[in-house]
Amino acid sequence: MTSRSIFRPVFRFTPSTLILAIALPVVVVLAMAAGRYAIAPGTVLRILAAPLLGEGDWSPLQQNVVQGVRLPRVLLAAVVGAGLAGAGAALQALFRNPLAEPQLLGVSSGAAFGGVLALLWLGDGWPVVTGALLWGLLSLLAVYWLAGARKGEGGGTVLLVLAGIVVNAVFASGVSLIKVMADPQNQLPAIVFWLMGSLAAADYPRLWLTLPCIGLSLLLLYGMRFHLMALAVGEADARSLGVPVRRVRVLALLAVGVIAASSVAVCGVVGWVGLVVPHLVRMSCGGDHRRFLVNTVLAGAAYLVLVDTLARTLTQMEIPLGALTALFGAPLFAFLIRRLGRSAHD
Amino acid sequence: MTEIALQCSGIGHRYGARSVLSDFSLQLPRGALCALMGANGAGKSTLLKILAGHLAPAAGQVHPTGRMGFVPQEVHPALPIGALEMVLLGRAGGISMLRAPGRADYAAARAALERVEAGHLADRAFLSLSGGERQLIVLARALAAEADVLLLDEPCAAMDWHNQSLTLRLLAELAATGITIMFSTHAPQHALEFASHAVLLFADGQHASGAPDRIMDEAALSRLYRVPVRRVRLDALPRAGTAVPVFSHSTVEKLESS
Repeated sequence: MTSRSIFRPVFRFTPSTLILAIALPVVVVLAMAAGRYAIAPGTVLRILAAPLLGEGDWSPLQQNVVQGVRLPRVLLAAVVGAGLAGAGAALQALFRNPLAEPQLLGVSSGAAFGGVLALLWLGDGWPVVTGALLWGLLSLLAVYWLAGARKGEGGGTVLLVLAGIVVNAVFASGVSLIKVMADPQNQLPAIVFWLMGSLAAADYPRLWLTLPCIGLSLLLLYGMRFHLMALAVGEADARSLGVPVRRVRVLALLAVGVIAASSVAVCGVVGWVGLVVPHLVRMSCGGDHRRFLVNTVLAGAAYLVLVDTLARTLTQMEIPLGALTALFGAPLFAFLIRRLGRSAHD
Repeated sequence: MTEIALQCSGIGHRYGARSVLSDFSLQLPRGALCALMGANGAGKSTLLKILAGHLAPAAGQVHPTGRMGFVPQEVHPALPIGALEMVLLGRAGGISMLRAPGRADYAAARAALERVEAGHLADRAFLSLSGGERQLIVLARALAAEADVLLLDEPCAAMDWHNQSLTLRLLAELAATGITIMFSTHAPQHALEFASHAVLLFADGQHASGAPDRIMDEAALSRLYRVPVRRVRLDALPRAGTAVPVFSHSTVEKLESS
């Protein structure tokens, strides 16, 4: 009875987790049904189940749309949404700041710079993915080195935020410089559109690249959920309670950095998810560490699938995903701030 | 000779040019309940932090002999956290980095909450509690940690009289089980009624330590708090001869004229 498995609490489903765990696949199937070429949700389900139940009466076109186009895109949206929301939740605990989100670290800017650099010199496609991932990780190292987090007691959260601001500024100006250097006919529009974030290029290779990166990072954060909560209470306090503060921080930063870099690599800069989703979950389902991260990850996945579906169905032309997450995220966050402000005054 | 549980020698510290402690030495036997008193800024919190290992002293050494538990005066979680979860954090030292608390940890946390008569607060949000209730929760957290030495920074500061009495009786019980305890307080009667040891930190950097009734005479208390203090004998108190310090100017004047 005293054995503490990291997996055991996963199976302790509470109502909120159960609702989210049911909602996510429903949203995923509905998202795959929606689009300019609409397919009935039942047909979508039967096409998905074809490997088990055999062929049915759907057309090859329907099968191609579901399996070849929408399935990777919707799953990629779910993985990225889950990652960004989980990373935001971890950062908020790590920085003891409810406003922290993955972009704070400067990793997103670094990854954006890498992607844009690749667009300028090597062209679209895999060079962009690789460039974004490598530069994202490089900027994580830079933040880390600047904050002096490798040495003894250095690398407090204030230093990390400051280092993030510096790295952000450097790479943001780098992106501006590249925009100036780019050919305004072809390269510049591609760069601008990529920077706004989109899942239009989603395919299975991108999914297979992102899934292990984000999946393993989320598993690591899930494993550390209790100690991350301890950090949210206070660094000195956590240390005196016996929490290995430095190790938890290093590993959490690594996980968040990998999530931020790999999500920028496959869909550009998508903001606000890491900020809005954890707060929504905390307000509706509470912040108990046993289910908070799982709930946040499930809700983040469903949220981004939903927003991406709107991005590709609302208008004739696809709306950039990053623009939509900001469009929904900002007012949602304003609403949360008003509610928080009101409850603080009561 | 009794076993020494907490020992420090030649401790000195300064904040910039301001010296707060100089050449402070202390030995506490196992099971001691030591009250730490001093004016604001005399170095009580600094001393507790140094003993807990949170702060490296400018001079001197601490010789820890067991698991140290530090109870800060206030805890400010940045994110919402439940009262039971706060107590659960006391178990963090025994939970490896990739694990979460198990059944035994929850049981220990609940038992600690019951011990401070705060079981009914388990499901409340920590930040929704009053200052005194929060101090009880943080005390329960220290109990859940099962430390050998407890250092408490003004554990009764925000508490009503019931909870002050509860906390002090609890500390006395814990000391009787062999836990060594040092707590800071601004109420000298806490020391006189409950403590086995007392430490007085004077504003000039000097200090006195020993049995409370012996070192806390009127002269020492007047010097400590820089107000005239008289001790009034109350025969109803359990410890024979315990005298209650009175620091109100008007009371002192009344006593002197009578």
